[in-house]
Amino acid sequence: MLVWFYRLLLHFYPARYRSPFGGEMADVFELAKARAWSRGATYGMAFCVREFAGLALGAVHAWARQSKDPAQPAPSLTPAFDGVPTFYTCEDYSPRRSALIQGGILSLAFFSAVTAAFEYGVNHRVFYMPAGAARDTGQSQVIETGEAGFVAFGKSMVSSDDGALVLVLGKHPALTAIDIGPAARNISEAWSNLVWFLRVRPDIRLLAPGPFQAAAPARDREDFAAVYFRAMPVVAALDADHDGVISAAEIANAPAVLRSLDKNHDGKLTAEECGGSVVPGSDPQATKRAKLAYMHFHPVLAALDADHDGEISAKEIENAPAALKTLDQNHDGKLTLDEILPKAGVMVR
Amino acid sequence: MRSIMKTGTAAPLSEPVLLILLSLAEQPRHGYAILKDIEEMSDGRVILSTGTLYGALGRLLDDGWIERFEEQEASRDRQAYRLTAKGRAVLQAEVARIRQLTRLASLRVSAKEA
Repeated sequence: MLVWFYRLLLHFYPARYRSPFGGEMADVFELAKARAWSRGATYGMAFCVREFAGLALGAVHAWARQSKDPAQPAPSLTPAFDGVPTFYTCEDYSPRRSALIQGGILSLAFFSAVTAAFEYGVNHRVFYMPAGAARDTGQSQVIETGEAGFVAFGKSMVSSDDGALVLVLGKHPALTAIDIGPAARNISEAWSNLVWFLRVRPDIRLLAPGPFQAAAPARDREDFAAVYFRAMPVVAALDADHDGVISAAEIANAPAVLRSLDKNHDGKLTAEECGGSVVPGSDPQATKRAKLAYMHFHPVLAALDADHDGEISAKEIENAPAALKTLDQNHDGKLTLDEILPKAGVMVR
Repeated sequence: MRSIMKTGTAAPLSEPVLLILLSLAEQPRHGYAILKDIEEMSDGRVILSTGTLYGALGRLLDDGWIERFEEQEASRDRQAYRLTAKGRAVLQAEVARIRQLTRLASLRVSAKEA
């Protein structure tokens, strides 16, 4: 594997250099690698670091050497005096200007990529919104999350098509408009009477006009899980005895339970019948994306909707026990909190 | 550095280059043998990576200080390297320079102690 990777990195060398030396370098690397690892793991690791760093530097030197202007005159030397020889530690080449520009562009691209990776990581941490984050501003209710967090309102659940979702408990019987900022304007719609699972980024403000009463948010993961079992209709239905665990018997009875959720008796379950809210008059494409995101977000729904078309068909309902068992990671025959909670529901402070 | 040497002015060699030339001064060697010899010569202090080794070998070949040939006795086709007359002259000049430097250093250190 290492030798393969080494050979791959050799392609960063100029062809004029790689052609005569590439194969030989790989052979020597293979011999030296075997010798280094025979001395122990620490020595082997040090060898790898040294080799790959040396390879990178060697490639830079090779390119610089290739781009060197052969017509460039050698620098003049001040003759040594007092018999003391003069020392030089650097090569006297000077890369072409185009090489410098290309190097600058590559460095900038690398720096940008690293910065973007950091930025992405920071923005995708999931934090729990602390109690009291919601405050009344008179005309409207502004919820400043500060950090990415879980926010939810009302009774039913919807999902955004903007990615992972979040939850904070709250009640807002007359929630009519939510401004979640320009970053997710496409899901800024009129919602009413809902529990909203939504990932909130630090730069997003939730604006809820009218009176608002924030309920005490879940304090820990168990609290959150208990709420999830009550608020998520499919999970609540499956957990018939409300003990926070979907037992083997409840799994076996899943088809019957799911059929009871089929309000229009068409033999299949839509996102709405699984608890997703649909905003009247919203963009059809956005609605479709939101429904798919909702079905994909919840592990139970994602497992049941085997073909991921956003609906649980009659055949999928029939196959529900087998589908649910795929979530049973520890193979104990039942589904616990950890196995059915959305990954985004892991609250980290 | 090498362009300076071409002008005939004595200039110091970098340590990897000096060790490579010293290794080849004894006998022709292939790449892996050079690596091992340098490590032994320096008591494990200098361990060249293959990138550094072949970077230096490439420059030495370009300057005509060493030459490449196919090892006849090897079990498989393998390139080996040996010093050229020019390379040996450069190495001798470097050794003379170092000798002069050490002599000067000894004189000054002993004068200071006196």
